[in-house]
Amino acid sequence: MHDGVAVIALEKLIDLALGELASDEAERLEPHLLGCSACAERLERLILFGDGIRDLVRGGKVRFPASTPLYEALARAGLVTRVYQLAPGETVACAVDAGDLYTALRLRVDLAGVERVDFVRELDGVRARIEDLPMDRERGLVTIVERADLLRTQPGGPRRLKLLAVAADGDRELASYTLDHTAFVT
Amino acid sequence: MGDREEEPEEIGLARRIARAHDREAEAQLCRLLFPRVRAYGLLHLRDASAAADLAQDVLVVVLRALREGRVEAPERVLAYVMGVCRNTVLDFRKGERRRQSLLEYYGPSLASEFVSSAVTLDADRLEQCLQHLCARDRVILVLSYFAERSGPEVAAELEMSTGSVRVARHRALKQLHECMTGSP
Repeated sequence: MHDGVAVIALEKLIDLALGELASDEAERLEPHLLGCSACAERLERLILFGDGIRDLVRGGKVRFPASTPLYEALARAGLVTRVYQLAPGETVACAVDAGDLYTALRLRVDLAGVERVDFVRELDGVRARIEDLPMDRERGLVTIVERADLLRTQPGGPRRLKLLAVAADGDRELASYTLDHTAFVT
Repeated sequence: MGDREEEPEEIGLARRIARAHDREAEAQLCRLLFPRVRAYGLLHLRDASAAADLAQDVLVVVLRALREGRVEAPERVLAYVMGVCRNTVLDFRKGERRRQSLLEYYGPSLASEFVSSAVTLDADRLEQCLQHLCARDRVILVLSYFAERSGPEVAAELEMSTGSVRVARHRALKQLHECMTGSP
């Protein structure tokens, strides 16, 4: 207990960590931090998530769909070492090398009138779905950044990929693609 | 007899230091305050190493003031620490670090105990916890921290409202916190 406050609510600490609190409210909470080890530790952890996430991205340890500006930022930083751009219906051969950190899948698709797009990948009969991808409507592109370390563990063979338009009245297939993956051999 | 709130530990320690330069009380006060001041420093300086330096500087100033009887009311020691924190952050921002070290007071073994007490994140666990987030929340965090985009910039890039980005970022950080610590 400090200044009549047992602990600062996690939501407030997140606001504080993100710099989203008005300065007078932040100043009101700060003295509590000096009297409360639990809140100080929680705040420190929340702020350090930022450094941790940055380090994981730089280390090739996060898989995520990307907007075009984010993909370009990763490419400028030298983190994307292979790019596969596919048109609807196209099959492209792909591989991964020991030095790769991320590969980018850039899928061409007509996004006119699409509210939400999901990505589906089928490998050996197993479906994996990534929901609500960022869309580059201007260029007609959807981008997925794949971890090369995970790709290196996968067997060779074709992967069926699909983009689905998701709406209140159901899913509609927008396009399908095939990646023919060559297994990584040490 | 009414309820009496227990006196915070810091105040008793401050009294012992002011009264008798009690070395054990000084060490205990440092153990308590170092992580808290470091969190304050991290909040303002956004750099873990600078925050640890700030905590050293602040505690040396506070200990000297207590020893020399310049803290008028030991029961107000936390308010005094707060004032020193604010002034020291301003000094750091101006590039005027005092470069005071707890080593001067305690020697390497005890000082390193404070300095090495930083919160550390388990990178493997963080990686797993990130993968448990929905893809949209994950990309919002990557944009915020790796690409250093502001809330409105993230919103524009992902065709979302600024409010929705704020809600998603909060939800993601809350989930990460719960996943990393195992507690809500």
